[in-house]
Amino acid sequence: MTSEVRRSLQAAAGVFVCIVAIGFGAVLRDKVELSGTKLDISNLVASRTGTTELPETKFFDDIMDLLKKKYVDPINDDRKLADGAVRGMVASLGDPNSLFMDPEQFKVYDNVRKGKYEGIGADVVLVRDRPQGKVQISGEEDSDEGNSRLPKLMIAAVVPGSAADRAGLKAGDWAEFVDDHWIPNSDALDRFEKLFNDVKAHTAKVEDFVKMRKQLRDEEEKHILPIKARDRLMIGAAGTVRTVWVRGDKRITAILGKGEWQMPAFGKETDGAIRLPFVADSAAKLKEALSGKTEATIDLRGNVEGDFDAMTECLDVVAPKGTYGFLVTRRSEKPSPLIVKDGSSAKLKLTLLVDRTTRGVSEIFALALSSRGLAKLSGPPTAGNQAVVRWFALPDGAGYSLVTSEYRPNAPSGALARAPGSVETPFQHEALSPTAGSAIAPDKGARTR
Amino acid sequence: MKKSIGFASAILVLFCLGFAWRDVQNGKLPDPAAFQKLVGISRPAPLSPAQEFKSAYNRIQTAYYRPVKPLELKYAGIGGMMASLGDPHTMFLVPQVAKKFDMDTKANYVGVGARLSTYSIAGKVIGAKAVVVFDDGPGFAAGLRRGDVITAVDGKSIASQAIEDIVDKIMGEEGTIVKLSILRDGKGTLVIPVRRSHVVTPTVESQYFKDSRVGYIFIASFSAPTAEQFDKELEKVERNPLKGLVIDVRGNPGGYLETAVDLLSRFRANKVVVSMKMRDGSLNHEYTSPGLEHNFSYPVVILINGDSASAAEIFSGALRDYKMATLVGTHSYGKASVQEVYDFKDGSSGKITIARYYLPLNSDIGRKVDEDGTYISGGLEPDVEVEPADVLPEDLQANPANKDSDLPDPALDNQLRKAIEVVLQKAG
Repeated sequence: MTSEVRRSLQAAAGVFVCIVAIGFGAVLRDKVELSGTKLDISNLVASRTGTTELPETKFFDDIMDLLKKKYVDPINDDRKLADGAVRGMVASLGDPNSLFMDPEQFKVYDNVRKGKYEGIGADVVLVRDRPQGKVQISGEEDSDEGNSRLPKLMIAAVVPGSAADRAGLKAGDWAEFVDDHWIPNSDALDRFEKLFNDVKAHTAKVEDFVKMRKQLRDEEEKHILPIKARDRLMIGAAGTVRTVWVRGDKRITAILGKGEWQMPAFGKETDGAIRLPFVADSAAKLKEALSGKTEATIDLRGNVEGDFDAMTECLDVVAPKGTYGFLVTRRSEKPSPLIVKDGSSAKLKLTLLVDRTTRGVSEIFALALSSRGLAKLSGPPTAGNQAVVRWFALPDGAGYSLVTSEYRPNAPSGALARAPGSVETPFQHEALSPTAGSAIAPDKGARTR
Repeated sequence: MKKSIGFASAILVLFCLGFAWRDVQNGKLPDPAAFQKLVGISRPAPLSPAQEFKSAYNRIQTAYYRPVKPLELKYAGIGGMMASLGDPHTMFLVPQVAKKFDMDTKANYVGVGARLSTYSIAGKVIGAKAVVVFDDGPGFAAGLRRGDVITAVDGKSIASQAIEDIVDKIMGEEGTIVKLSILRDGKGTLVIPVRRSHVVTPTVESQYFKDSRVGYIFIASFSAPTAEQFDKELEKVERNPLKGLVIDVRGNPGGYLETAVDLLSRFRANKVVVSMKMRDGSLNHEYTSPGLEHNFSYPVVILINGDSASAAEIFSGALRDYKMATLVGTHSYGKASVQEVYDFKDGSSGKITIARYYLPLNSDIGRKVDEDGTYISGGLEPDVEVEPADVLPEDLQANPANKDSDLPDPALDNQLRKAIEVVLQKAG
């Protein structure tokens, strides 16, 4: 072989290796990065190919591109768009326990789960109550779809010593006005609808109707969404907030100073009961407090926000190995058992102090133990909310909560034994017939064609 | 030896070039994060916005305790993304809404040519009432009349259905027949077959008030056929002795900017209608066309309210700026932006604000709201402010007016009364 041939072969090999290097680099880049390539808007815009469903990530990318190219103001923050998308998806669930939170809200409500409160010092939650006339079982909450009633902003628990406590507010009170803004509620709309029908039936005066319509319109003009009103009550440690609460037929007006408040942490109360918030180190502390005991009282009142995993660890401290009910979903999947893996062998006589401020995770704890005869419940019915809520953080500090399952003490098959506080059978897919709720602007029905 | 090191580094550079090619293509600097991932530095890189969306999308479907429809979830996400810009006019339209929006702006569709509203007895929806039957539509030709209640479509009952679903059933392919079962004057079941055809929705209606000699033109929206329909109605009104004209754009949500420009060209030629400020800062001026001017030899009053928006505000505001009209009513909505609609191939659309506009005298009418969404300022302020008087809902009225038309009656409409009063004053 002449050196010339060899050199040209070498050169060819070199070029080949170079091309391979570039190609390899590009391929590796694709592998390294999960998300797809940049796309042209022309893919998105209607084409001859007929209707095609657009895959979600591509759709998202393309519309983000379109917005960036066309929107009147420059868009510098892609993160805001992504957060907006997540907010939209979570909001579409229409579930008062599944909520999107911006970074500030996420921080505040995450602290609440650890017992650290801002605002008026009360845990205020969105609760969708049942339409009037519907039979209520012991609990009062219902998040059933098809229930078109507007959610109420209800106090779930009050921090002892807080502004809310000093004003005499109690769990179950719901907010009607916050800083002179009306929180639209279905009770008012029901009253309006009833009055309308009464006037039609000549059992009420037209003047009353006109008066109430004016009042509702004026209030509507200055309304605030419940979720925003909640922020005003629970975010910030300075200033005051003017409020009107409803308790039964009573109205309670209160000007509340905002501050920082602490739900009592784990510990013994004067009567010997153990207060048990469900936070990270609860199980270890509970174990220590119970060592050598044969009898104990655990106070689950004012226990509305807790961590599900911390609760199961506590269950492990007090209950023997076994299955303690099921986590069910309404998707077509098997209920997953709530299992205590190791368990405790100590024979404990447990009493659990409960009332309507025993909610969520603490309610699951109470039901799991009482349904197996391992604890006696003492007090009025619990809140009736056994939703398992998980929290998910987003890169910029925002986040969202999702109800991932509901707890049932018994296997959900056939006729389900109704446990105290349980509100519904788990596999009722049919939506309740929604009651007409919006009556403020009558006669808006005319539609083209 | 030296040579092979040189060769190896050349290969490495080329590899890097290949690796970063996507960034180069997109005119960006190479992304260091991607290189970090390549060499396995496992600093968990924050999710990209697209990944953030995708992971929440997947999680909600797999972790939420109720079944979620993927398509609805996707649309909710896209809707949320577009809403996050904080502009109430930049929005995503799901296919069903997009279709309706398109029909409304074009005012042209295939159907029977009637405006329907739900009809219920004792709180139960029994059908759809024809509130208006268009004179030149196929429904009217086949015998459908105003006030008829449709109880079944193609023999199938439509009781307790949503009006949108009923409308969907009545509409269909051009040339096909739809059988409407009719309840007329509360009795009898008449079946009227109607051949579906193209219908142009009337967006302009008129009436003449004999006692005051004032003409009245109602513009429902600024759709494609509106200017032409306006000419027709104006001609009708002008057949009468006219002291003045009231143009009613209350509740008019707007429509095409071009239509507003077309209409304004009837009043003045070669005048600036709006100045649009585009995203690059440039100004675009829209001018009225020459040669379309009509001689308005009488005063014109325009009725506006909080639901008069967009093109309706441009029309009213520009006419006032030309000193050709007096505005009566309550302040208008205050929409000072222009949107473009992009149709996506799955039938959905995106409506995106692409510019802001200013009226001829340079006024910014942009709506301002506080953090709770309560109105602070914005919109056109009327020259003569009149709040609407409270009117009882029809069901509660002692003697419900049994009118032939759905146009307002000065006896019942205090804003219209005021408008007539103002127009007569101006007429002297």
